[in-house]
Amino acid sequence: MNEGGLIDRGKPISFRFNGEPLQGFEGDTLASALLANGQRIVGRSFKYHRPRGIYSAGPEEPNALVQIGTDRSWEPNACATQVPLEDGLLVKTQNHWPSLRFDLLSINNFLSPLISTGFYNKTFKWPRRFWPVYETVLRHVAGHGRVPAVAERGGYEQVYSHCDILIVGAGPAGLAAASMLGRTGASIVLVDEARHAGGWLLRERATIGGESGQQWAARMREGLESCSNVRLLQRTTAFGYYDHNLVALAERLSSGERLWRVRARQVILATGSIERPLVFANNDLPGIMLAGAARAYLHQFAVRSGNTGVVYTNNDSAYRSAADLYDAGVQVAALVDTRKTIAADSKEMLERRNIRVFGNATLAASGGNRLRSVQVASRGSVGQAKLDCDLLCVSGGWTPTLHLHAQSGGTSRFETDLDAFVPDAAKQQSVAAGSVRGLHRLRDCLDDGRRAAVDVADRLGLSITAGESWNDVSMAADDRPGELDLQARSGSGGLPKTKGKQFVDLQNDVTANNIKQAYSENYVSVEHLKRYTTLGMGTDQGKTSNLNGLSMLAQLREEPVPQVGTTTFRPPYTPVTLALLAGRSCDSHLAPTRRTVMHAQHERLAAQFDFNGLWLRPQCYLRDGESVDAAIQREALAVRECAGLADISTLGKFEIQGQDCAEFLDRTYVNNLSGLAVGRARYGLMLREDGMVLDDGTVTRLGESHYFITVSTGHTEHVLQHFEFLLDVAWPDLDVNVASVTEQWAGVALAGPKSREVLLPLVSESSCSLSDLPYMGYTNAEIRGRDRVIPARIIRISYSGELAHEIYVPSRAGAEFWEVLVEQERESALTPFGMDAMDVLRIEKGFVAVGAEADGRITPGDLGFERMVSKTKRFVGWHALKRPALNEQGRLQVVGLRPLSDHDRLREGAELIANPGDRGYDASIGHVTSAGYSPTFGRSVALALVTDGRSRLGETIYSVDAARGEARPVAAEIVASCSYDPDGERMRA
Amino acid sequence: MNDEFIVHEVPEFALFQVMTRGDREAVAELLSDRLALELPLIPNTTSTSSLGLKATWFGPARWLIYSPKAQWFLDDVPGCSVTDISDSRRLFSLSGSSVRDRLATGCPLDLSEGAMPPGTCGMTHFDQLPIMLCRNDNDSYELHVERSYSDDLLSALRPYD
Repeated sequence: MNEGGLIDRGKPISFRFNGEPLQGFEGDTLASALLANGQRIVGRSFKYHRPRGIYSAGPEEPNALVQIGTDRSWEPNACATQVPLEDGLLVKTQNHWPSLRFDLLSINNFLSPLISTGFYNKTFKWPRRFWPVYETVLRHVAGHGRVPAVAERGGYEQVYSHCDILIVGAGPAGLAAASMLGRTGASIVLVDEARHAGGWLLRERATIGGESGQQWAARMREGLESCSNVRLLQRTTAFGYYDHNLVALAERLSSGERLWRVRARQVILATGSIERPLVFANNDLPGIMLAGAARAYLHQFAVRSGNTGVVYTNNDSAYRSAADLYDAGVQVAALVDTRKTIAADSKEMLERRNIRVFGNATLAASGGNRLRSVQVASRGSVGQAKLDCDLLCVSGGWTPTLHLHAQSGGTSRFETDLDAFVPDAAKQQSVAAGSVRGLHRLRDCLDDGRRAAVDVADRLGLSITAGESWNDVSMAADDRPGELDLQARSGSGGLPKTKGKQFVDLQNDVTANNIKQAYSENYVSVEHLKRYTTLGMGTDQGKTSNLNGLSMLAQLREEPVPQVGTTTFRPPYTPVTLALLAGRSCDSHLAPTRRTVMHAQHERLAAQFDFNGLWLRPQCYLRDGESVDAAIQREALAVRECAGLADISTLGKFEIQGQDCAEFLDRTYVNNLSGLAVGRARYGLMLREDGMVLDDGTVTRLGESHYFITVSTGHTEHVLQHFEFLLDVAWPDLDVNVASVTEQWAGVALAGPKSREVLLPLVSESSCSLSDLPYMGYTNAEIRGRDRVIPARIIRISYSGELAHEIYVPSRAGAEFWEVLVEQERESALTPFGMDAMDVLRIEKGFVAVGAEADGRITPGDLGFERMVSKTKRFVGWHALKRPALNEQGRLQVVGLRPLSDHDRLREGAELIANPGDRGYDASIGHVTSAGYSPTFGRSVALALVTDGRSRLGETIYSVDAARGEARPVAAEIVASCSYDPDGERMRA
Repeated sequence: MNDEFIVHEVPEFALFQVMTRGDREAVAELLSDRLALELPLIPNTTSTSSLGLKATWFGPARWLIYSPKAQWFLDDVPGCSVTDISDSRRLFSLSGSSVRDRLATGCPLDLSEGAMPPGTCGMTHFDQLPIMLCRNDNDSYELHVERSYSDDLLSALRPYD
């Protein structure tokens, strides 16, 4: 139309629809622009590939799902009624092949007797091995767009927000509430899905105090924009209501989206209501739309949705559509009302316009690619009238948009007068207002918004003034929306005998017959009905179809609707992109990465990194042209023959202080630690309450009441929680403080027969005597840095079986310390080594690792550590260790494995069997827990958990690595877990 | 829109963790006298001394004592455990007109004047990275992050592409 509407005719916008250039205006949605361009078919349906047109003017749209964007980067299933028209927008329709007007797959429509309810579930499950074939075909045929080929980058933001009051919906009730609360100074967030605040005020001919609804909404909006305490978010959907009044919003930006997590003290839910369709034959033809949508396109976008219209309704609100369309120049052939009694003034409003009103009548539609005519049947008589038309406006009443209220945990009740569920009790700090409560008179909605405002102001202790009062509120024929004809909306009740499907769910092609069939197959629960027929699934989640479907089910069950209930309302209210939820947390930010202070130094040495928990650790350092395996062997050999250097900063480190710290450690570790002398270290093992190994590590006594302990890298948080639980809950009387110093100290392991020689020139002699430091001894020392002295803690601990030192320096000096050590390399052949080489060394030595050998089911006895467990004290896990089952035969025990042939490789995770032919789960007698190639022995070395392993030393068993595709059993001999220097002379040297 | 956001690393400082299992008020009083610095007993608050020392509530009966001097040292205090953690964290001062907006993109705390006035602090996170955030007297924040997370944090604090 040439005038009216909220579009800017001075700003034309060009876009392409399936390649065809079209034009709209600033302020249009894609749907309104398509209607204005006379584009009736906008897609094909999901199952039967029937042509479909624009059905609604809001987020409930079941039909107009399109693909927008370029060929390389697109968004499927964009809802045309919600997409604002932008210059250069590329639109493609979905669900058809080869073309929109001619779709070969519409053969499904004629095959529909064969494609019954549950067809997919019944047909494609046998024979089972055909599923891959079915899947390939079905993936192509199945509807709802194509996934983009290229990952999206950027444009997705997230923000946390806190406010006093969040108002969802800027229709009459939301605006009325906001305008009152805006003056209180409370922080307010007002969100609305549409581009302009106003809701249905923009879409009706309404008057408020002498202003038009559109003018009033604009004035309210301007008033709110001038309040610094009010944040007005347009094109923003509140899609999820979570615990503690957390509401998630999706804001559509010009490029990308923004996720808001709003924590509101009070929430006003002015979410409005959605019009319901009526069910009749061929009710899906393009040209059929909701009666309210026809008014919306007329008043907001100045688009006539057709030339000749018919209105079909069971309530008074659609009378406005007939009158408004007539006044806008649309020929209105008739209004068909299913009710016997029609309000005199509504009827009079149409008779004044010479619009024929059929009372107590039903209709059926017919047409091909679009609506051509309707057949009207009076229920009282046999007479049928055929009316030609290209627009049919349908109204089956209004369904309150309960979604957020229900997501928040609020209850609902069924209002028989409205034939709908309305919010009942709130669970969280929220108030519903306006038509979501089943109010449909404009004055009632405005008043209800003000009531909600007073309500939340009261709860927050805000003083609120009466504010503007409105007189002379009017909207034609809005006084009696409620007198519904309950039979008509569910498709029964004297329909004309016309062939044609009666759709309940347009998006998923679910018909009235499908529901009857599902019921006859005993799918009598709404949740089962949904899964079986797909009623209420898809991108619209049944916003237009759910209530019709469930009231049909209620009729079949011969029960009232509340007895049947609704399906669960789950977030999101409308679809949101996964990119929105991910925000920045993708690619390298998928999870935090922790780097040691020596990370840059490792990078310079061509380290290959791997994750341990969140930590990046060097696995090995590659020299020119070297393979990873070769590097690991070179590094391991260097430690055995000379000296190696490894970054162990990631180890968890704690300082235990307080008068009772020795007692605390005695109670948490299985071995005695109170007897540890100051200046000495000891290996320690701690258990869970159930007697299984929790963690191991070293304990160093720095002072009488001061210990320094290390724990496994991946278990640091777990151990700290364990300690804090014990101190807070079990032993609040102990004077013990545990401080995490993992990040305070950078650490290196200096290992190998020449490690002392390497270290000696760096340690100032006055600070300590390194040569006198015994095995498991500890000393403070001063290291000569570049131009300063670095304080260090040196402990003679060995995880490699060689003479070794663990040296800890303050983190800020860590990088310098590493460099000073590496500079020694030239003189003394010090080799940096990674975690893989360290693993080989400890496997040779038979040192267990938590996570590999101690996998959570393992006791100290299983590890062969019975002698370590103190018999003179009680500790966490002590009682549980006495359980008979933990002391019987048949437990897994740690042993070493030696392949019979040096050429055979043993691999971590391989199953172990007693005889090469054994098969099946029962055949397993254990598995390989750690394995590596030992350059020292020239063969694989491995540790394994084997049933009664220690009593089977010398036996030959077989390793099967089926998971890696190696079915050939590898013969290996069970040996003692320690293969290298069993007497420990080298590390004590 | 003015979107000034300045990240400035605090170059040197000393940081000590003080914990007690005994009478927290007595320890607070003892240390207050010794350092001329009040130790906050109210959760999520901080206090500063005229010499630039700062005490931060860090849990019930736990405090962090900050000194702007790297060579500062807190001696043993009777009845509590003192741990030097000067090396474990990096400290950043965040300021500029858009500092709150930028922090709100990753930090769930309510940063408004009413909820987080000067002299308050909170353990929180930015994206998935654990941080501690202290509100300074002026319109700036002090952010503590464990050293191993700091590279990730700096990259997360950068504006959206």
